[in-house]
Amino acid sequence: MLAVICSLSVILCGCSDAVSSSVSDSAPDTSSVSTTAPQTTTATTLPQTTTTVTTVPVTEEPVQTDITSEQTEEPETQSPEYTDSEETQPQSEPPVTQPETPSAPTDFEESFFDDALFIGDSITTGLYLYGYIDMSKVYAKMGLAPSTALYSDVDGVTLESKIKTDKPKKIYIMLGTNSVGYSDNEYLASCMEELVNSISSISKAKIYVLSIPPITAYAEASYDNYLSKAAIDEYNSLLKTAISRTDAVFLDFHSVLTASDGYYYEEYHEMDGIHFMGSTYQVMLSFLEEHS
Amino acid sequence: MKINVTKKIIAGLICAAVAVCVCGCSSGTATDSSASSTTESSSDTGSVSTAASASDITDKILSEIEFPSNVEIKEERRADYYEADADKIESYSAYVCGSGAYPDELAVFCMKSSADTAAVKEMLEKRVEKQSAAFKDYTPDEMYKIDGNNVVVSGNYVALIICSDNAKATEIFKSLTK
Repeated sequence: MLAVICSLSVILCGCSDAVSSSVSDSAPDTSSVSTTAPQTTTATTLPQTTTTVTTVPVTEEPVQTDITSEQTEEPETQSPEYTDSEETQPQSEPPVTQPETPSAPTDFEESFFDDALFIGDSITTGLYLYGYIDMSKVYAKMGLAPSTALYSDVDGVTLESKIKTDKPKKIYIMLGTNSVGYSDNEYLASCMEELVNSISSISKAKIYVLSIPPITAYAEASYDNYLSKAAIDEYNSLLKTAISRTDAVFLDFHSVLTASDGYYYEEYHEMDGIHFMGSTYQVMLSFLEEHS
Repeated sequence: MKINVTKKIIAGLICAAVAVCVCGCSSGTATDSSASSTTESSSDTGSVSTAASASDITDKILSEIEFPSNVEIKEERRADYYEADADKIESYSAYVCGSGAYPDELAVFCMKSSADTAAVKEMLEKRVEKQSAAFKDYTPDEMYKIDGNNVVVSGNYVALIICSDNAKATEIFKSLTK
């Protein structure tokens, strides 16, 4: 009998062990799920930080990699070179031309644009994509051009309908980047004049026409588009003249984004050399608030 | 008399043994049931609380695949991009290319019920059609990202994936939604 009892208890102990082990086996499954996900957060999602991050390795690289590979050959001369170069750099090396850094303000009051409507192409869509302006206040889509804005539609809504419905008090137009290089600039400028006059005929809103932004030298050399610095400059000049014949106000936003070489400031453009970075919209809105 | 005493002792021992057995089984049963209920509840909550949330998934994908100028479309702006019944969504996370230059887009919906995935899938497929129509003439070089495999369903999850490596993003999505 005692043997029976002992064997029963042995069996029971074995069962309880099995149960406990099955419970503990299940634990890593959940932990493996939870450990994989939260590793990255918003740090990877902010494009603005990428330019900052790329400057960091400059100070780290000599310490991390160069020394380990070269120090074995010249361990004594390597580190003095570093200290010497750091100390004598201002005297012995020619002055390094620092890249131009723009200083345009970026502060704006979002409520200032509560009664506004923005008309434009893919560049203008960034106003709502980045969340700076409510989508309902932006009439823009990819490929929209001076010659098509009047007759096109955005999500089934024509520009005329949009203006009559929303009754904006301020209208900002920035169009031409999709057409410059493909069409005659005088024709494009005349289309913008026609667009402004058409809007004026159905709305009492104050209309502001912005010059189109610059491009980068890289984008200019690209075969993906026919944009060139010269063509953009010509269009903006013709646009200014055309708009002077209307009731609208011409705003030279191009100059705000352009460095002394005539191309985009590095800080302002998307990697395609044409579109805006997120912070560029802050510059744009600050500029518009100041000039309208 | 001794025999009776012995019988009583043996009977007592048997009763004790039986009691131990019963207690052992019942405790074993309790352990089993609690273990199984833990397993069930963890698998139940696995799809709700212990499994990856929508933002866990988008974070993981964004950490491994480059999304140009991505900007988060938070819940308060979701309706501008994705029509879905908020009451049926357990978690949601989405990113688009803020500059408008590229079609890259990532959206993950974790629905409370797998029955709710069909409507979201249909909605996201329409979104892909719209983006395809917008970008096909605008940036033809980017159209490889809209390859027809941009909406993926896995359990309670539905994802819209438009990026430079849809296959890898889909693999990550599926690995976190098993």
